[in-house]
Amino acid sequence: MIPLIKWEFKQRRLSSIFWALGTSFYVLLVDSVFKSFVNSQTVNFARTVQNLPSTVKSFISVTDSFNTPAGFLSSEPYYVVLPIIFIVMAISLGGSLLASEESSGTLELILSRPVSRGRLLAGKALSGLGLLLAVDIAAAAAMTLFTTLFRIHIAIKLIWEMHLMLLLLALVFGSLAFAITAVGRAGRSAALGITMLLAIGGYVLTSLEGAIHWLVWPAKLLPYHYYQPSQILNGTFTVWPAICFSVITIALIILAFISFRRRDLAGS
Amino acid sequence: MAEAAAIKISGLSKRYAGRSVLALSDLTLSVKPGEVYGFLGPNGAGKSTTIRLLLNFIQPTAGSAQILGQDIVAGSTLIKKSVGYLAGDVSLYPKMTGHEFLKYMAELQPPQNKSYAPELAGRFEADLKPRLRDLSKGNRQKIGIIQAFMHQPDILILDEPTAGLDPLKQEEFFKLIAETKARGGSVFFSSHNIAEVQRICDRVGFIREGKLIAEQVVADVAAAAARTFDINFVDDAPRAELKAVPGVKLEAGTGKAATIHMKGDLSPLFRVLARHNVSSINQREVDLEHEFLRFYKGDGK
Repeated sequence: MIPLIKWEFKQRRLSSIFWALGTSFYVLLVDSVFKSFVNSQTVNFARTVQNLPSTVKSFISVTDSFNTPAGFLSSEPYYVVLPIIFIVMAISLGGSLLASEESSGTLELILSRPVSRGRLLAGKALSGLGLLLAVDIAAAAAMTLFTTLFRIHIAIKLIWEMHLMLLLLALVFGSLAFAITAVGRAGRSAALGITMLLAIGGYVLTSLEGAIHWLVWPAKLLPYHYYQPSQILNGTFTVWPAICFSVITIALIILAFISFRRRDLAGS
Repeated sequence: MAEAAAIKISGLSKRYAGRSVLALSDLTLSVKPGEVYGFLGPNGAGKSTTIRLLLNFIQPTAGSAQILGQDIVAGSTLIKKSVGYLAGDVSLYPKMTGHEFLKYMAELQPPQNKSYAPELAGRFEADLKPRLRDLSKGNRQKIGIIQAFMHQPDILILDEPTAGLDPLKQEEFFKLIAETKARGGSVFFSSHNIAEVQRICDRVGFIREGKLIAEQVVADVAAAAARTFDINFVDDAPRAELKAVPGVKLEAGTGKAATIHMKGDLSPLFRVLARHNVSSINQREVDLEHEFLRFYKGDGK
């Protein structure tokens, strides 16, 4: 399994470095504007947000307190942009780890060696987890560094808890894309399409659940509902959503394993 | 006691999802240790399906098969310790160099003799430095052959192995097959190329529309095939006498030269020749290609 992980890392090292650099640059940008935002614009911005229709407001933030570090970070960075970055990366990884090798025919090369399908799948899943974890650690480190540098007073522990939750949320979508490619021969585009639809649809539905009451129940079925950055950054982190995300991820990987073990590979 | 088969296929069938017709129907055959078995048939006959079943890339609809006594489904991982495989349209990692690719394959299955892969690269004059996407089809095929042979497997399963190779490298490939056979290895390979099958195979199976229609020992095909003689007489050829020899088919012609095709005992022919002045006699090589083509086209049975 080690060679599989090693070569997967090697093949994807450049793209992962770019993901990490891009995310860190975004963190730098957000952290650098915090002070000036608080000093000059918070009152006006908060008033503007207050006056927005609740449906529009729900897409921007789950909090109205933009002038605190926790309020500021739990709005755009941790509520919208960073989850999108990590979910897109996870889906793209999950949808391609197996599918791209199957469609190009190189999966047969690996399986013509004494590598069981289970080991192959485990190697691919661990590679995806490792790559996502590496980018997440880079982003968390960047956030830790730049919040300190720009004197945004938030506990380092809370930042890392936030990034753990971010990783777990992304893993749910990544493992779903991975499972779709492992279950059937629908391929990469089907996995990307279905998972993206669920991710974007989930975000829209969950954002609107506060304004449209009948959406409360369907929203409860979606991961985004349980992703609450303001709770985490205010120090009221509960482990249940994290456990749920982990269980869903593990269940999807098991489903992928069971299905992939005995299915026909697509011809190259 | 009979020697255990290296590959034993019993009633193997495959129906792909959504298809009503069987891609492979009730295939039964065996390959002995040290035997080179050629699997011949037109496109879509079921050759690649058989190979993909043997390697457990696809699941059988019915029947079973064993390689070195292990079931191809349950013992697939174990089997692959002793198998080398080359796909018909070899797919490699385009961003890797040949050297990186072979290193990766060696890490997945460490070879006992680490110097063998570089030796093969030398024999095939394979350039391992460029990225694989920059190589021609023939050069990619060389890398494919090296990865299949580099761990010196007991069983080789090869799908159209010489596609894209130049004649010199085809020679090298035939040598490699002979070496494998000499050390007791078995080779199962599919091909369109009757000439190469004739040259390197001990036995040939003909497959059409998913069914094995005939199996022939190459030497038997040669023995059973009509032999052709070009005979020149000092005087006019005794056509009537030659025609009367049992098993002889005389080609139309006049004058001193005669071309005959003959099956069976040659003595009656030589008795006729002894009564006349013969200036030269030449036996043509047996045209196995013609014999094989009869099966290939479906009129061999």
